[in-house]
Amino acid sequence: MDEKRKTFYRTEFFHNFVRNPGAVIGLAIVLFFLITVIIGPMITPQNPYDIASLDLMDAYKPPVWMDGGDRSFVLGTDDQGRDILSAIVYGSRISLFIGIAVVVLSCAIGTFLGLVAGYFGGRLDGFLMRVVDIQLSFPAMLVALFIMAAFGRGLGKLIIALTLVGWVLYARTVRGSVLVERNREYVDAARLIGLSPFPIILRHVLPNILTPLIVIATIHVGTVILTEATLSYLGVGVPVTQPSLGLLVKNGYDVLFSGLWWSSVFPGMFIMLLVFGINLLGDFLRDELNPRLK
Amino acid sequence: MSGPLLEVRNLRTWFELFRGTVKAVDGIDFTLDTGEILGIVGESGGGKSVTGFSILGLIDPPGRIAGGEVLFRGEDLLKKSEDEMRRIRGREISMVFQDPMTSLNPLQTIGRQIDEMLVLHTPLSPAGRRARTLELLDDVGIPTPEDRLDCYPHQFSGGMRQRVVIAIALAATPRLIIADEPTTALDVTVQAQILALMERLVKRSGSALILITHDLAVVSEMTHRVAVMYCGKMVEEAPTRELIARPHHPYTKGLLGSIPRMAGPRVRRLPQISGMVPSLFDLPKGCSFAPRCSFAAGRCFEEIPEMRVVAPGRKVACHSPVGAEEGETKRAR
Amino acid sequence: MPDRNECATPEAILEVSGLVQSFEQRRGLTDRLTGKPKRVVHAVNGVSFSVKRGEVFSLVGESGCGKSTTARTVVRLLEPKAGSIVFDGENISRHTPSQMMHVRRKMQMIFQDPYASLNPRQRIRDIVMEPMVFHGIVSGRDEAYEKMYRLLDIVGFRPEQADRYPHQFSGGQRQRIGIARALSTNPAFIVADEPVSALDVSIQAQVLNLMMDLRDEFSLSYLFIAHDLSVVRHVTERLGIMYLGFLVEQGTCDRIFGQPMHPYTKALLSAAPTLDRTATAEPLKGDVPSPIHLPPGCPFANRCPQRMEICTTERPEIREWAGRMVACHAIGN
Repeated sequence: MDEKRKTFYRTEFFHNFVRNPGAVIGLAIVLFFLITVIIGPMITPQNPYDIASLDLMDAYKPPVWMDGGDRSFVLGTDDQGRDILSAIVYGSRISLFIGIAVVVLSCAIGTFLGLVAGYFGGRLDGFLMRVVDIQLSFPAMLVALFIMAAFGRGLGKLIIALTLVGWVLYARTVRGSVLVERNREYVDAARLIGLSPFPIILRHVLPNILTPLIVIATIHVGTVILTEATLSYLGVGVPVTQPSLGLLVKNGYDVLFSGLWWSSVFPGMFIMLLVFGINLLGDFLRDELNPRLK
Repeated sequence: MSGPLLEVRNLRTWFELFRGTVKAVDGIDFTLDTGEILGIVGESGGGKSVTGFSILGLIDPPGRIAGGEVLFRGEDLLKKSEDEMRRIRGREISMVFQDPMTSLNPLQTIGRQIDEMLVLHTPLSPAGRRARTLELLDDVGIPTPEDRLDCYPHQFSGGMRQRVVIAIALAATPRLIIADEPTTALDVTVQAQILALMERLVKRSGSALILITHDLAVVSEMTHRVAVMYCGKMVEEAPTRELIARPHHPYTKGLLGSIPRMAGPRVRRLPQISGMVPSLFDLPKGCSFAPRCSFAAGRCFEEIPEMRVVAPGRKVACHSPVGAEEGETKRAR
Repeated sequence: MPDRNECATPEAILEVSGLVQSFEQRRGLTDRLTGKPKRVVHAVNGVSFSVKRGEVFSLVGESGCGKSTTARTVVRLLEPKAGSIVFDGENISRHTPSQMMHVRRKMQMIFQDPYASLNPRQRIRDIVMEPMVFHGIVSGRDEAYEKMYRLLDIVGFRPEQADRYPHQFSGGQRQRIGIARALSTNPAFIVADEPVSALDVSIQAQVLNLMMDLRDEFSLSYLFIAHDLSVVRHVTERLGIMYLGFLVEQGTCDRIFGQPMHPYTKALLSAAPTLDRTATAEPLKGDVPSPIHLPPGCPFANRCPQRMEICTTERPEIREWAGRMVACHAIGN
């Protein structure tokens, strides 16, 4: 294992990574968020959704560097005395959870359908790709908005809605890659051994199309977080009891004009930072893993 | 013009890659006279294509020309600016590549593509250009050129496309044509057509041709002189017939031996060169061919052999050339 | 058909008769809506040949002549449209995948492109072990490893190289890994589809020698697909020349190379560049007709220097003449 790690440091991938400031910053941001959401709740001054820990006396506190700021509420509090920083930590958790869950589900469904469509071709392929085409001709946001408006708020519903919007991306990419790989001679060799289609797909085709999948999945996490934030801002996303960063922006917006700019601006900045980090990392992976750009 | 048309001196083209420096071309010399056909042969990684690109100044980072001179009609092309080179490319020196599909623009008619070349490099009027285009297509053996002007590359077969590429290369009557594996993608009967065509056109226009190929048989039928490359260095240069009849470098000898013959008795096993081409990142200390050479002795592993004249017109880079008597070597010096 | 008797002899490991293969071209939506007829590419048009036990039989021709399609149909990567494929006394032309299973272990394939024929994500040892494990040829893990190391040793690898991935090897080495994989199931018959055309000359000789050594060691029969006539002459006992999906001439190596009869065979032989000749013969004119609209007469009629009236209207049957099979109106009449 140690040997393996050593050789990784000597790879071109690692070499290019450390010389690409965007990639390093992107990874730092993403790691920062991952650590935050994992250990954050243990170190935040309060659980912002435990009503008992809130104190209305703490309401309307500005960030610590402003007049009237309080050391225990670094980024200030909202109209109910809720610590903004704690809310952001919990919100990031929800946002990232949704982002990752949607990507995992979309990727699984889209990859499966793309593999089957690409390998077998025929009517199934024709049908699936028409579905994909139709869905891609509607703005994803509109479709998600429609689904959420029809079924109501909820974390699970939101994940399902975003997955229904997201799988097409994977299905199409995977199908395209499978069409290329299927015609390679190593697949013929596997068929000549006598392997049946599913072992061929799993053992021989799938490992060779993972690279583009990793790239789109990374960038997709960012997209999902943004879409989720928008939906929550519009009031059709997560329920108020589980506020994501998007919902925090909306909650803050409601009181923005009473001078509490911090309760809206800081969550907004965190969304921006998170998506920015993910995209930096995604761009690096795309450039690095795409053999055509080499 | 006195002196050779092209003289390459100690040309070095290196690529700076993550794993180290690849000396794709490392100190090669050769000359080419007007009307001459020179073959540059070698296997993949030998540096023959990079040589062609270097002459035209088409080396992009991470590659760079690390040194040497490319004297074309007495002027060093390596000292020219990109602007000056652009005028030379196409007009003075043109290139034919292996895959005709990548050198033709799929979105333009072939008439347009030839015309573009004429606009850039000749003072002809529109009517004159059209006449010249038709003449060129006729020259390269495209039947009924008038009907073909408005066709797109995909409407042609592979052989026909390569003819169009040759027509474009010839449009401005260049003095030198560099053809990089021009027939490798083609079938034998079409290859024979294209080679015959190139030979005829070169002879007629009096331009010179550098034919870069891996195929010694093609070289044998087409060229006057051959240079053999191995691992970025030139190992042997000789008049074609002499080289094939009596190779001096063990690599040339091995290469010729490993080609199955079309005449004569059939052999049970082909003579083969053992081992593999070494990695360009990690070349042996002495002669690059030494580890695979059955004649290699102590010195071959220590000292890189210099290219030296062993007979009139024959040069070889080997410490103990095969079949070249020592007396002959001394006389030539 | 006079060669029926010869084919029916029990020593034939493969007997193909009247094999037909064609593909429907995909039509776009607009074509389907406007009711354009389906376009069918006639790749193989009634080809018959047999491969005797222990022999190398070659199919030769230029790209698009249907030789690879024939090979891929014979190993049942493709469904034949008509004709029969009798392998080891068993007609496999209509076998289902499960019926094919016991046949698969006896017939394997070596592919053309060493860069595409190995799964880049599989280690060498897994590439070689997968077939034998799947077919239950080895009883356990230890035996599989032992056999895998033995096979790798035969094709020239050290045991510690077994854990590497394909990208760590050169083209020639990969081709040898492909050969080890083909040997994994102890086959009796190997289809080699252009096994050396992607390799450098010196490596070509190594791989050809290896293939011929293995043939003796494992008593293999080969169906060898190639376009390079000198390679074919070196390896093969008998060969068939294909043109536009038809077998135009078939016979022993000595007969065909010594005294070619079909005008296309003659053209092919004279177009192939060789070291032994200084000038190429007058090349064949024109292009191969489209396999979508087959000519009604002889497939070669439009390019044939010996064309007669009948050639454009009536397709010549392949028949025995001067010790070989040949399909030409101009011969023997």
